[in-house]
Amino acid sequence: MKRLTLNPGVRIDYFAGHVPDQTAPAGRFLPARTYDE
Amino acid sequence: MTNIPTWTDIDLRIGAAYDLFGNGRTAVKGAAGRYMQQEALGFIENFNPQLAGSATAGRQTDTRTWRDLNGNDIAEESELGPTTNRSFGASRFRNPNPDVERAWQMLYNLSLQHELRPGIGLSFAYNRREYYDIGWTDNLAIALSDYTAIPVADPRGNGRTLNVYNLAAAKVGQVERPGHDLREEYAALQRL
Repeated sequence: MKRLTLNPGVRIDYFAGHVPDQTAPAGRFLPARTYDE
Repeated sequence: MTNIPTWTDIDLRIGAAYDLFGNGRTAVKGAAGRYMQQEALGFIENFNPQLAGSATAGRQTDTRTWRDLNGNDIAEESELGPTTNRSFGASRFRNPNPDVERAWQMLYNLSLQHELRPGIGLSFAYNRREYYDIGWTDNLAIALSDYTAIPVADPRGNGRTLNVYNLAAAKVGQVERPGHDLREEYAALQRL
């Protein structure tokens, strides 16, 4: 067994995303907009 | 919008090396591991209703016909034809698949290495990569039945006709729903 080298590994991945509340004022072509989260 | 997405993944990996003859000159090495696809903002940006980035470029332009009815050389609204981009000004992606999973890959490699003399070695390797849960978009607003076959004359002038499929004007719509579960494989042999 002195000839064997083992290299085990564990990785934990956590990924979370969201789009928050947003507002935009009225412009030339569109009225004011509000987007809830 | 929350949880677009929330992914938790556990990746197991292992590598091993074995000194074949016990003299430190010939080794068999192998490894197998699971690797998640790198993610930053790309997936989330698809669902941001206000974003004007490359991920939502389809909402930025709308091509419309114009007939200058009064001849004043000004494109007035009453002279414009209907929109050809019903997603204009809005996100084309509105329904993330709640079951969408993070794309990931399995990497395998197996190699045989031998030291010919100090400083010079020979190596043979087999590498394999498998792709899982590759995302794609499916346009749920359009079905195959929304296309109408229109026969046109074969431009080669052989008297035959070719079918050109025309999408119904009312169906020029949104693209939605990233999915998952595609799989591809890649394998290579190397000699160094």
